Amino acid sequence: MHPTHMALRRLGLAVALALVAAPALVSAKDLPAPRALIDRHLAAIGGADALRDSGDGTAKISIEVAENGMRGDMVLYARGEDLVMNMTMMGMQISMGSVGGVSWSIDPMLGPRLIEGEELEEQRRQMDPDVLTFSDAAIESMKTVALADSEGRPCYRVEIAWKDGNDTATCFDVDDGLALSSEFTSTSPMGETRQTMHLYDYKQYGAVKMASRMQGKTMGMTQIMTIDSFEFGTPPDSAFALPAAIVALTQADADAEDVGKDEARTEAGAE
Amino acid sequence: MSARLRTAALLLAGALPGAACAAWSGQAAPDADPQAAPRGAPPNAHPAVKSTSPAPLRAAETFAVVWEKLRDSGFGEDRDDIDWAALEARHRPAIEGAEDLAGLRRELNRLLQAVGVSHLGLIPAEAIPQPRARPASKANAGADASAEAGTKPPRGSGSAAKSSRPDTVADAADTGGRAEADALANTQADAEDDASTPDEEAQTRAALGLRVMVIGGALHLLQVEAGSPAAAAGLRPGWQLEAIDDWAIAPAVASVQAQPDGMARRRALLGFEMAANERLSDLDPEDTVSLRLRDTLGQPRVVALTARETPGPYLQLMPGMPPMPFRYRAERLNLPAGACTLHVEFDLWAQPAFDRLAATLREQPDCDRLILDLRGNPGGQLFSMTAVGGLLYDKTTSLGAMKTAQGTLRLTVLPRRVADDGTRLRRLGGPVAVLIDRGSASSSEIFTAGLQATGRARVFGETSAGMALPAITARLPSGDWLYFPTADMTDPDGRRIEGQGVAPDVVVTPSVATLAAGEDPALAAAMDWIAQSAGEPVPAARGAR
Repeated sequence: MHPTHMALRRLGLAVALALVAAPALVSAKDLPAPRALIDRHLAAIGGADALRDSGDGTAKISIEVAENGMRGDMVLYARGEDLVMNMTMMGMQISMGSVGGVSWSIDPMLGPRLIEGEELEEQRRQMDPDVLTFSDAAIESMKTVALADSEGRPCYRVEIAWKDGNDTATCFDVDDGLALSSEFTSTSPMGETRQTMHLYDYKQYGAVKMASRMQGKTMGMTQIMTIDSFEFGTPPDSAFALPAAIVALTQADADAEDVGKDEARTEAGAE
Repeated sequence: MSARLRTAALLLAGALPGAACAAWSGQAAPDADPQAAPRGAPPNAHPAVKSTSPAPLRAAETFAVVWEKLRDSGFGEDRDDIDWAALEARHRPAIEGAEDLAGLRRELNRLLQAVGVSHLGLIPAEAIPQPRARPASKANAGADASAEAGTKPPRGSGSAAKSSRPDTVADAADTGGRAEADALANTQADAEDDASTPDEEAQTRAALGLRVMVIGGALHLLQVEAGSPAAAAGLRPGWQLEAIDDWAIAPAVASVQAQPDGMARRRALLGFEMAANERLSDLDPEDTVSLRLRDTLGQPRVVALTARETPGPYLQLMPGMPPMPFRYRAERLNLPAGACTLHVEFDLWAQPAFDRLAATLREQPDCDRLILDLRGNPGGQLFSMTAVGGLLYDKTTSLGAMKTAQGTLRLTVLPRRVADDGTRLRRLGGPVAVLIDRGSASSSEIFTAGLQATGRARVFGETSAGMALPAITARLPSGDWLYFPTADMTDPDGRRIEGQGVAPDVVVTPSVATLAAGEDPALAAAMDWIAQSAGEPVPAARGAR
């Protein structure tokens, strides 16, 4: 890079940082429109169509708790609408999946379970292509609220109210338009928590550019996830086989449903 | 690469915090009498640190990290009472000006003690052993030699399982006329069952087979494990312990009792007892400890005991914590009219607690009552509480809540129907009694409070430690580890346990007389109640917090 360009870039960064320190000086009318920021981000990562069409594959991801170096490995398999994730860490095994319409989770805290109700809705919402591509079809309203920063990186903060009632905030890089952080509400049987995920080191994966490192903080723990590899191609069927515990749960539910139907028939017959 | 995959990864990672958090009180004894420092653990017990630590001190960086964690730590309303500016002004210069590692640790400990909550401690780097491979030949030879000598049964024989309070039930049978203990075949499951744990190669610890507690102003033997070095030397529950090596107990107890009445004295007492018990149980194999005692007739006794290896499995709850042995014991106690109850105790909350309890319930399908003995249990991994709870509840239940800056997370129990391998699990639907004492801390208290508040159990014994916060470790620039709370914890009724403890429904305290007689009044009271209980919800009445 030419020294002048370098200096200008530094100057630009210094100005941007100064603005971050004094956000009140920036009025809302000076901020870019949220749709323009979103479209710029989508263009930077390869476009909405590429995002929707990204194919089957296997990702290997490492996960680390920054505070104490606790490490784990995660493997994700994607095949059409099916998705399976397995993680091991400190001897613990955690897995989740959605295969053939059955969504499930196995973790040492809650055990094997079928994901239902609000949690299932939340998962479906997060996986919705319209949500992933910031489609107007899914957005109720949105607004660029500030020139903010994400871990010291200047960005435009866009707050979005989704039609399903959720709200999120994404901060888009002032320079290249890429999303630098995402703020969202996480739902589980344990409750709801507001989380911020910082995104780093965008890399090209096929037609799509993705952050290869993600960092979030929950319960005092800073979790860092790094995509170690991504392999295109349909994973083997064995990766999508329902775990024995999930098969047992679905069978038990089916049996209970049959018993319920039999009882209903018996009662109807008695009447 | 699909954005869906990234989202999915975030969802999966979201399951991690609850699973990875610990609520274990073992390193949280900020008020412990310095003389009671357990071997190898507290900083003051490492006089050689100054000369053996070539690494840069990085005191200012260490303070910065500790301070950030303290300020971010969500340990609750106690924070409002802290004058953080004054705290920083008082401690920062001393910490940043420390000239050596020993001094840095001393000043950091002063800061942590000034904050004054549980689950806040400094863990010296050298207290965390590096994993080491144990030669198979040595491990096997040791086990065989012990078995031959008749001092330690082979693993899995069941004999060791009855070691905790083997006489108590028999005595209860004599006095109560109806309880009879039948050791379960699975009582002490093979340590090899858990040989695949990540801590397989952790450093082996050894113990004398004693647990002590202050009763009536003196330190007494609370338990003498059958088959232990202490039992082999003829030591009996109720005896007074006057010195451990050159550590005179009476001045230490006096210093504890000189503390202002209330929480300060209570914490000092807990810290002292924890330290004393660690001096008796956190030993290297073949360590020799000299004890000066007085028997129940007032006769002085002096013994030198050689520590014996504590059977595994050894579990490391998280990086920065020392590996700890996990022990589980289950027995079937007969009740009148052909009824029975299970009496289960384990000394650490971790995955094996769930696995073993699930196995016990399967193996005893006709026994639908449970006495869960959490006396002396210092806590462990949070997730194992909800896992164990899943064996005791038939509907979704919350055992409490963790309040964090990001929101409130409930300790949700989902009834367990199947094991990970798909086999059906047996849930216990009958009455549950829980035994606690002031050595029951952290996860043990949180679990007990949850069962008590939801009417699932009746609680017997003494008020618990009042040290109940979820916590994690962080590596410090100095090389040591900080153990710090990450959230505040309340029971299902919104009441804090930290600093208060769980009050039992039925207060039963041990006395020297009952110990000497080999009685266990708390267990006996629980058996009386559970024999008459048909499993209906326990009334909400309970002791004042």
